[in-house]
Amino acid sequence: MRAAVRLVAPVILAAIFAYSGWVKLAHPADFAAAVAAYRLLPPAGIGLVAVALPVFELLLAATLVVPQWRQEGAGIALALLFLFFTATAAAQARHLNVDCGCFGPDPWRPLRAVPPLIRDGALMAAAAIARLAPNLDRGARRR
Amino acid sequence: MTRPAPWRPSLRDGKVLLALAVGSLSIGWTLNRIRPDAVPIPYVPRKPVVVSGDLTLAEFSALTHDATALVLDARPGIFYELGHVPGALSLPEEDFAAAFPRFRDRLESARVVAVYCADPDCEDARQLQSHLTARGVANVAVYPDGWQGWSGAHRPAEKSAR
Repeated sequence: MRAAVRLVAPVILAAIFAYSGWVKLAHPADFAAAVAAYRLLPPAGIGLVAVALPVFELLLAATLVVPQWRQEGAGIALALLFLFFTATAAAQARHLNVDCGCFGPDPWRPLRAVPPLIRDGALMAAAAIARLAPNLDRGARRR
Repeated sequence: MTRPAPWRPSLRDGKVLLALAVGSLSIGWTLNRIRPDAVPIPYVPRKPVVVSGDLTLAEFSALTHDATALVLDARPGIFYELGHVPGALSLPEEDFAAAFPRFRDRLESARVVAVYCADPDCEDARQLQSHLTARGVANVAVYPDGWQGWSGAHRPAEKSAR
């Protein structure tokens, strides 16, 4: 059971980051507008985040499914999700009309149904499991 | 060689992060240079789809995907619960005075407010537009074909409580 959880957590994270990165990449203007709505970054920062973050998420998904990079990928995913959580909480505290922009303009319904902070919290838990669980592939790496 | 405790950041974490950052900036920048719908860097907000007059279906649809726009459903709450435009919030014209304070912050931060009701004969959207304009909300536009036009065009619908 524990082994299943350790294996499933990074795979779920990878699938979600791959989906998230892909829909952002497909709708760059919508994603840039969503980033701008947070009112946290200057115009140059908004452009760079809108251009780089979708690709970053796709590459991060790849690291989560490669055994040799899984633990590092999980740590980076945890940090990134914490960043998303903080930005969303800050926007809500300022009563901003923010569409989180996490999964593009027309998110898959089950993802849209979960409030962003709860979703980020659950994904952070999955990332922590993937990071802290003993590395099942350690033996393979040493060889 | 002993691997560091998994909860502590390691040099290897830094190297992977650096590789991801450099890779994503390079690939993202290159893709952005060649795609027709490139994001301007520095970012320049898109001009509002419309700031006055009535919205066509295409304009209204674009606003439902625009994070800086606010879409309001002026129909009575029961109709909203049965089905509404994805992302729309329920602000029935009949409840306006009581409900407006809850919407004030969102209305102030929205670049465009799009309002709809049931169909072209319905007056609720126009009245809500008047109420909002009287309260100082700028850029309020009506989608006159309302829910009938939206659902008749087979656009996606959402069901949720108010």
